[in-house]
Amino acid sequence: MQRKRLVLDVSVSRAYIGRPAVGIVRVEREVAKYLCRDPEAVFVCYDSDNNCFRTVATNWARAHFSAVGHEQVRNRLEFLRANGRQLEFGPRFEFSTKDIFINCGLPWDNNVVSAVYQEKKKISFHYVQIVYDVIPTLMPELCVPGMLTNFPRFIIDAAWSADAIYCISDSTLNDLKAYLSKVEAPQPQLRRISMGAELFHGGDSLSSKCDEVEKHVLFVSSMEPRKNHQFIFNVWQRLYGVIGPKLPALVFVGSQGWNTDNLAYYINNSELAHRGKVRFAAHLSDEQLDRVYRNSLFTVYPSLYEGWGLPISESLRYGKFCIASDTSSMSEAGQGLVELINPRDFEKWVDVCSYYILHPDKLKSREAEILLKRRVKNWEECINEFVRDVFEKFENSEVGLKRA
Amino acid sequence: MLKALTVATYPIDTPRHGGQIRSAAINATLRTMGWKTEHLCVFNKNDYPEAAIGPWNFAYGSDVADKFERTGGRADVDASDHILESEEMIARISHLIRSFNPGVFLVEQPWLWPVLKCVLKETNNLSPVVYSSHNHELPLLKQLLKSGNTVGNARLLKKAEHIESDLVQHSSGLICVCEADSSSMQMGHLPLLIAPNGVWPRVAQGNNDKVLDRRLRFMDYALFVGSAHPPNASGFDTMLRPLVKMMPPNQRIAVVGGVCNLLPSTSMFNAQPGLAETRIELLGTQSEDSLTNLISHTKGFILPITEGGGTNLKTAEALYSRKPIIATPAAFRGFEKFKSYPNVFISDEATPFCQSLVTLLDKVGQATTYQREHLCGIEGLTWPQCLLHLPNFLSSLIEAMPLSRSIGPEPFLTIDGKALAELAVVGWNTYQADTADLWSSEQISILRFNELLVPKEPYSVAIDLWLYNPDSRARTVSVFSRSRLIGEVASDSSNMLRISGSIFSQDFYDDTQLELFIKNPDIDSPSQNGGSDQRMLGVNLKRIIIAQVDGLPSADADPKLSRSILEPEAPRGRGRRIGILTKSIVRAVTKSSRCRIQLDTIDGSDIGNQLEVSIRNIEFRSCLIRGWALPPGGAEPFSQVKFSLVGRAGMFHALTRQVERADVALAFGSPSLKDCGFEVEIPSGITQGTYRLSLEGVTASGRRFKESRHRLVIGGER
Repeated sequence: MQRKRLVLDVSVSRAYIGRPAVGIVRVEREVAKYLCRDPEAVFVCYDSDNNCFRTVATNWARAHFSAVGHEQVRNRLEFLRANGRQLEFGPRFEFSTKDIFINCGLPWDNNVVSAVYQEKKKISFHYVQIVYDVIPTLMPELCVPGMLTNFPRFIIDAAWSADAIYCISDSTLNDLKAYLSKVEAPQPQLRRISMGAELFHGGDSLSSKCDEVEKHVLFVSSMEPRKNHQFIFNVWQRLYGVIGPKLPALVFVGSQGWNTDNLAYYINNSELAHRGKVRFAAHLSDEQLDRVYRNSLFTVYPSLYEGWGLPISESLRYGKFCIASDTSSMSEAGQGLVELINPRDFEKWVDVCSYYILHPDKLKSREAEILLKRRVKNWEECINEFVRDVFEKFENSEVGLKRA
Repeated sequence: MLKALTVATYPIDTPRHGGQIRSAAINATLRTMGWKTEHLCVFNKNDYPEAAIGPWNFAYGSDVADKFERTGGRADVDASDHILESEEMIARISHLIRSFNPGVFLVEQPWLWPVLKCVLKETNNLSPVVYSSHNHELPLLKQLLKSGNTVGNARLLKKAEHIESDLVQHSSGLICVCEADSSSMQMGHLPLLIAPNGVWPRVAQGNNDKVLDRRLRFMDYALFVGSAHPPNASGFDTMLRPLVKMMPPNQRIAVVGGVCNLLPSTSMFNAQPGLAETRIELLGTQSEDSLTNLISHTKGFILPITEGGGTNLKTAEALYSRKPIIATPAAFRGFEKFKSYPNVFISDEATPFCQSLVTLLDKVGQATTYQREHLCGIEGLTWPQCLLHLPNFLSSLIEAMPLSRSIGPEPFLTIDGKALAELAVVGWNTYQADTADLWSSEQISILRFNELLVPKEPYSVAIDLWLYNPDSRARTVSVFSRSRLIGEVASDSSNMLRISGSIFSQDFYDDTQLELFIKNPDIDSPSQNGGSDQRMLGVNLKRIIIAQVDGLPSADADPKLSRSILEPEAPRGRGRRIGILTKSIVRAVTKSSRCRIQLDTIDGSDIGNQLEVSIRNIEFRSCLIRGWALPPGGAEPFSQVKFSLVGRAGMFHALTRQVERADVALAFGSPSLKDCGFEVEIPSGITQGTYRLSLEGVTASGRRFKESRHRLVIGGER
């Protein structure tokens, strides 16, 4: 029997060239980086104009992904200028029965899954999809416009087409299972992929947008309604009334997202902002991120709903205590080492934050517990597990599930 | 030039929905046949922002629409109220109609009939009205109003029923889209034209791939085109609900038209947010080019309506495209013969309907093979073919205006042809052997009606004449009675004039004799221009119509009883019923647009003029019914007469046997009618009960005329 060949869709990474990576882009890059070591692996991109997949030149992919890191974004721009676009977007890719096609990107804005389905009608191969959450089906009001229709289409198309869907948490897996059952969609195999977390080892700092050397409380997240920035700002306002000038600053790290213009204006013009008790920092280098994590007292993560909760894992990786929401997957990400509170229980958040600000000794003991008990995998371990699981599932299977 | 005015609650210059498309096609077809047409419409301008501004377009704004909304009204049923409230608008419409002077009115769906009725009365216009139905409106409205404000709904239904029945009562002819509609409306006594909905051939655009919607470009999709007509949305919701879970990722339903505004409110779209949209693309209103392109790329049509009357215009479009069709039986109403065509799948159950759709979309496209008769059938779907007989149908109604609609409930006298000569008393001349060519030769010419018993005053008279006007000068022709001016009219370029007005009892001598004085100050002779023709020519009399103006017919004035005028020896009795005149009038009446079917005897007993006949012998075994049937004036004799009894107790249908009736032929002065008699036997097995008795005459060329005025009571029930 022929050895299976992994085919990774890197459309999202290609689209994000020159832009800071959100969580999903990071996962795709980490998988791509891992597969760079596999000489058989193939990288493809979706060509929406022609509804087909095109091969990404191997040297381009290896150059791009092999040393992937946060700073790689800037290097890519230079790489692109030097090598031209042709290198990255090659001839039409022809699937074969030995292929296992992996998509871990953002396929809801186009017909990529439908294209996979149509390819599978022509020839049987395996298709593996990673799903990060099903929040648009649960809380569409908290998602960018268009997701209400685009996201269900992606999920249902994936259910029709994929041989296995890997979810990033048990919570997401259960949500997905419930949704597919509710809409009477086909149920492919539902499996788990773990999320990694690593220390940030930045290259040269090109700018100095954040020099957080003072002790502060850290909230790492893109700014969008679901992440609950208004709520934690309100908590900080109350705390300032209680603690006064000794209140540590709350630092928001992350780019500004959808539907938050008014909120950013509101916070920036508040008394807390004038007194330096809330600050924004976006587009940080790895070195700067590393510094803000290390200099934080603890981290907060009041998000209303998550597919996993990567900042919680990163906080644990840095040995930092985290106060997070008690919803969805965040208890899984917290491993029992973080404080979980209802993200709408304002008084409780005030009390718990106040407690740890005013009791550094208690904070130290929580940090000691974290260092002792945390089980945070790095990306390499996670992707290795994932790839091994995919091969185990499909290596001995002659053809993929042909649903047509 | 023949002129027609269509009347509707929508404009037709940029037709989008079915009603507009049909009315526009009627206008277009008549124009291509040399007619002049106009379209009078009353509509909400927000619903038709594209409508041109013009004298015939009466658009109202949001104030009126809001009023409908507040009061539970509808833009169709209540549209007339808005106009009738305004004397100024009535006056404008009256002026337009006087100026245009249409030879026939086509009421496109019944809703503006109250306006037209009012204006016809105002203008004393006696041109025939044709109910150009698109659906049988009452059952359709009942379906639409299944839920909601029940008090308001009851009002709407009552009003709709009144408008439609009143229109039918005053119509000279009926146009239906299918046989089923004509049957359900039971308007058997009217001349009928079945004119199915059709399609205009589409012209394919070049470079189609570029303009095909991006969402569909790589999908196998079926097309649903529908207006914002609620049955379109409810049918889609009912028939396609199971579809989303059955449809793979490469398949889509593309929805085009106003129905896209209704679908998001259906249970299918609300069951689970975003789910229906995974497979259904709501494209909204599309340009004709885009729609043509969508049709050319689709793998098939879906026609999922489950209710509604009329016929589905989109069915014709789908059939004409020669694409596969998945449809409900309701969508093929009126297109029954196409059900067996290749690639037509019919189901009224949602699951097999959807399963067929998924299977169709999964197939690799291949051309459908049609047989010759299929291709002929498809070619017959174009509007010009569907409306082929319309111009002649309307012409015949105009020509045979006697006994057709009047301003009142029923006209009762029309005189034309040779019969006119018998009215000529003073100042008339016939210059040829043909006495029908009657000219006034003096400035005042007198017509006299003897023994004219009228049912109720006032009533109208309309005199159609042609004015000899060799130098096209402005001239005025007037009509007087013994005491006053009845009406006058100025000449126009055609010199075909109609003078109309009301008549009252004081215009009569001795209650029964009426004289009309036609005044034409200018009598000319062709010889004045140097010719040898010495005739003195004033007006050439064409036709006189007398009709009741107002109110519903009383029992005595029941229009159906007016048939007694057909019988030369008809008894006069019962006061004011019309008993008439001379043989010439009888001959004139035979040219009416209505067929006449007469029952003479049941089991040997004379029926006379009874409309309800009882057979109370409980030992009833069987009986023989005899009578005679005549086609409308000018039409060929009936080749067969169908007999039917329909009642709650059951039904009975039979073809009658032909019987020679020389006496009838003699009475009507036409030997060709000698075989107009019929007889039929009602079998002994028929259940006792009350039945409506219908007779349908069919001519050799297939024209059908129905009569259903009698009730037959068998046994003890009443």
